[in-house]
Amino acid sequence: MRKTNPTFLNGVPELLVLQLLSRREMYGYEIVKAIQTETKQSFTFGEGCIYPCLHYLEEEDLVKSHRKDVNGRSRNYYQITRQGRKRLGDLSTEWSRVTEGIALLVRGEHA
Amino acid sequence: MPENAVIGQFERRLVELGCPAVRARARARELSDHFADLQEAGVEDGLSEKEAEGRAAAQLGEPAKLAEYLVWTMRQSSWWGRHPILGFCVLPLIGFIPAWVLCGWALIAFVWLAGHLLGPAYLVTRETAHALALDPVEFSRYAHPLNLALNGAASALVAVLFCLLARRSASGLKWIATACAVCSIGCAFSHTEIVPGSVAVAWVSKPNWTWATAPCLVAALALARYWQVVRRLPACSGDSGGTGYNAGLSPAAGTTESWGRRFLTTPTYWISTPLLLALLVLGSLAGQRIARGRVELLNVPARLETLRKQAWPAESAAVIARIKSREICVNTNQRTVDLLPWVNVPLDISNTNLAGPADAALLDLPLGAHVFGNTLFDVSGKIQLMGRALLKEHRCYPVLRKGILIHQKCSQIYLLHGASHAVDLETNVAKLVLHYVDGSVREIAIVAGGQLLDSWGPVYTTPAADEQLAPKAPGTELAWVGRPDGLGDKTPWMAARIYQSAFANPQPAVEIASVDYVSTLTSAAPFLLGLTIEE
Repeated sequence: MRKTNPTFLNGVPELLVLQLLSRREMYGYEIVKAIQTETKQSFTFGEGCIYPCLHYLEEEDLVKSHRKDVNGRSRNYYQITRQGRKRLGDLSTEWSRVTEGIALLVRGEHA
Repeated sequence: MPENAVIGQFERRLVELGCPAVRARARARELSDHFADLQEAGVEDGLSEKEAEGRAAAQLGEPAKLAEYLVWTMRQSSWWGRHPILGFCVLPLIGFIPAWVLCGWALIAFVWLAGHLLGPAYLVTRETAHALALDPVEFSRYAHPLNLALNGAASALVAVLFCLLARRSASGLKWIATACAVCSIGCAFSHTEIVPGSVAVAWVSKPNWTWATAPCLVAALALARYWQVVRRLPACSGDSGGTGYNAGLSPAAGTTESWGRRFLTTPTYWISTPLLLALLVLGSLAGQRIARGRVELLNVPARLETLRKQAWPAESAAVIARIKSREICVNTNQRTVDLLPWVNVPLDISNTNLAGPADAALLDLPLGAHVFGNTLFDVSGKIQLMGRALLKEHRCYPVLRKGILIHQKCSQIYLLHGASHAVDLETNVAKLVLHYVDGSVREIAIVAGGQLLDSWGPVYTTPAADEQLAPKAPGTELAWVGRPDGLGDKTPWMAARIYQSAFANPQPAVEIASVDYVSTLTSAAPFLLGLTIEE
């Protein structure tokens, strides 16, 4: 496992997890793999980051979990809640604002 | 590491850190699923079963570290987990009294429900409660065990509540034990009392360690449960670091942060630390004051000796002389009321129920018509009413005497009266209930420190310490003092004290039909010796 995720990524796992769960319900391993695949290995949030994040989101009622049998395997599936969707909207807006601001400064694209 | 060992160690570490067993089981099951997925992925990548298992274990890393991080996240998601000092060191101190009130309401609800479900025989009505309150001995038979049960239930409830909060926030056994210890202290310094007409709930300086045992029992149960759960899980390996689960994300920084840094960055610690320090300072100041008081008390024997030998005997003699000089009636508009039908304690040698020197001294009180403090009274005996202190002496008297006949208009009412065990000043110890012929009713309060002081006390005028030597109410004076024979000369200034109090009639234009003399059932036991009215 790489240890190269920069320290300013606070809150990013939450955003990614909520974004993935907004599409469909998923289980932990699926989320870890999806992040790796869809970010083209840009982020390497492992089990030790994703599971605490999922449990935190569950405590905050942003996601809910249930056990489900699929293809003969019983797994804990996570599903986004209404509050989770609202939180995702807030986080996405905030993320866009921050990245645009940083891009302007880093690339020197100021007026 | 084989899968079972990884998952077992993960679950054990979760439980050790305070995660509830059920939740730990669910987390372990989820991790087991994940382990199986990693293993399957390894097999799909062309590895053997053994190699795939090894790679899955390596990918998951140290199970203990993962558990620590999960528990840290659980704690951070709860207020109790983020602020354990405030939550488990300060709040349990004030938990007992609300818990007691809650238990009391629950009991009332239960009694009400039982009465309505089981029938009228079990129904506690206002009349039943009133009748019970009028019989102090019977009342104490129910009130004492009820108070014991409520105290036990409240102590246990507050401890269980904080244990559940510590458990739910995964704060760990350390904080469960701390909460129970603080609950013990809070319960020990709490005091409750049920008496007719009132319930007292307070904090006191004198601890009662009986109530401190219930939280300790709860802590013992929590510990036993913890060992029961941990024992069935495999032991963790010693090393739990080094795999970097969070890969540089900040939450992990909290797990390794030093105490000093955590203190500086956590506002709760800034609040709770001064609060605890203030409690300690207040406690030590109170202790110092008590110690200084003791020292002062020990340093004044010389002053006391002077007072005892010179001042007090002379002052006592002067007080007695003044009382004698007031035994002349100057008002001819006064009419004495015959209290004989309501007297319940005779004041002659036939009375063998003498509980103390004050009672014994009253045997010397002049019977019949006699002037006390410029007022004529007809003394035929004592109307003794009940006080809570008498319960401890197993003495029982009525709570009230009803219908003392007057049938006259008057402007002033004079009482010759007193009260034993009247140590709580500024409290209503008795009352006169005036029934007028027009049906109206008025009450006159008799206050300790106002109309009377304890029936046995000093009769000097220079106080030894901060003590009240004379009643404060206008129209009240010391009317008679006496000492029983055979008491010795060690404290000649101590005597039985009987007071004469004058009260203005609230409705002088209306004829008073009768008067009730009623005890308010404080510690003090009031008594009435004479009643005179003035037109």
